[in-house]
Amino acid sequence: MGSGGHTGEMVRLLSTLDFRHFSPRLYLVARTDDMSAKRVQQLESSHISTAGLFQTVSISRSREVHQSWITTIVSFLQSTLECLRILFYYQPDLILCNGPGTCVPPCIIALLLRVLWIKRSTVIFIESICRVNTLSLTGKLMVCFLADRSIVQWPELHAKYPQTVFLGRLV
Amino acid sequence: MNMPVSQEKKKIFVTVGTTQFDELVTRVLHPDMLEIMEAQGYTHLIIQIGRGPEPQIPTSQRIQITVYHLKESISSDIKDASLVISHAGAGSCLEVLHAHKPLIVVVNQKLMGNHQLELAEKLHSERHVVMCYPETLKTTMTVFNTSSLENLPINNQMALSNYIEKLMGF
Repeated sequence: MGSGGHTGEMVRLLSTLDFRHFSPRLYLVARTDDMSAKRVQQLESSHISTAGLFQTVSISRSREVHQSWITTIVSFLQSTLECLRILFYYQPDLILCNGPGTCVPPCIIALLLRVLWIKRSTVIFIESICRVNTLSLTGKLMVCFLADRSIVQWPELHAKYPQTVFLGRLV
Repeated sequence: MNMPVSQEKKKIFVTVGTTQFDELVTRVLHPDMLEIMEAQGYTHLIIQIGRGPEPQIPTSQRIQITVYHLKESISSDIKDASLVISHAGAGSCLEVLHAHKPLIVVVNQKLMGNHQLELAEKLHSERHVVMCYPETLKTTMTVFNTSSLENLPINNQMALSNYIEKLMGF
């Protein structure tokens, strides 16, 4: 889960899933992002099929808005190490992400765990509705390297990146 | 008894999202804007200002002004409004469009690498919203015509769920 808009969009996407099929659930939120943790709590308590367990784990933010690039590298490495511990322990079958900075480290770890034959997680990236013509930086990383499937929400973007999946507007 | 005739409420809701967009707040509170709103029959102006500073509220006007910082949910304010003026955040825009309310989207040019512009332009070109900038809000408001707008088509809500379930082999 990521800040503001990303979280809102993710909550909307998750609310359409049948949680009985996706259980247990682990939510990664940035440590300073109380809003997202709260939204997760709301989603879980209001969801129609609240079967199974969920937990919310906070990780360091890989990049705060306006943070300098040098300190970004440090905090990025820090959150990647945290993700290594979490994902090694949790071994998810499916990773869903929609593009906040927080979502890059876990996807890198998922790739690592796959290369090491420890766990093969399916990574699905859903680009934000905001992106009509261009992919975000995270989006480019996801589409080119990290995600098994990347979903975009506008035909213009799908035409530019034919390797993506277009399912219409999702939110 | 000589009771005043109860006037029908016509509300404008302004929202800047969770950060701040002081320029928008200043613009909607400008006397010229308030005059236009009054002339168009609006009786209430509700402004959600996010983390921005409390604005000076002009004293002499007939339109009733309410200002607040943040709320758990702005859906009731959207529901009550006849017109929404919003920042270009996707969440706010979609919430307003899902509620089938006329929407003016004001783009904040001071945002770094403004990717919000993409969505605003797209929604504008498909006539779901009217997009403008803080400087052009007054003109936009003057010529704004709700009947020129079209509802946003319904989203493909179950598509993601179906896609993932199939991919994961359920």
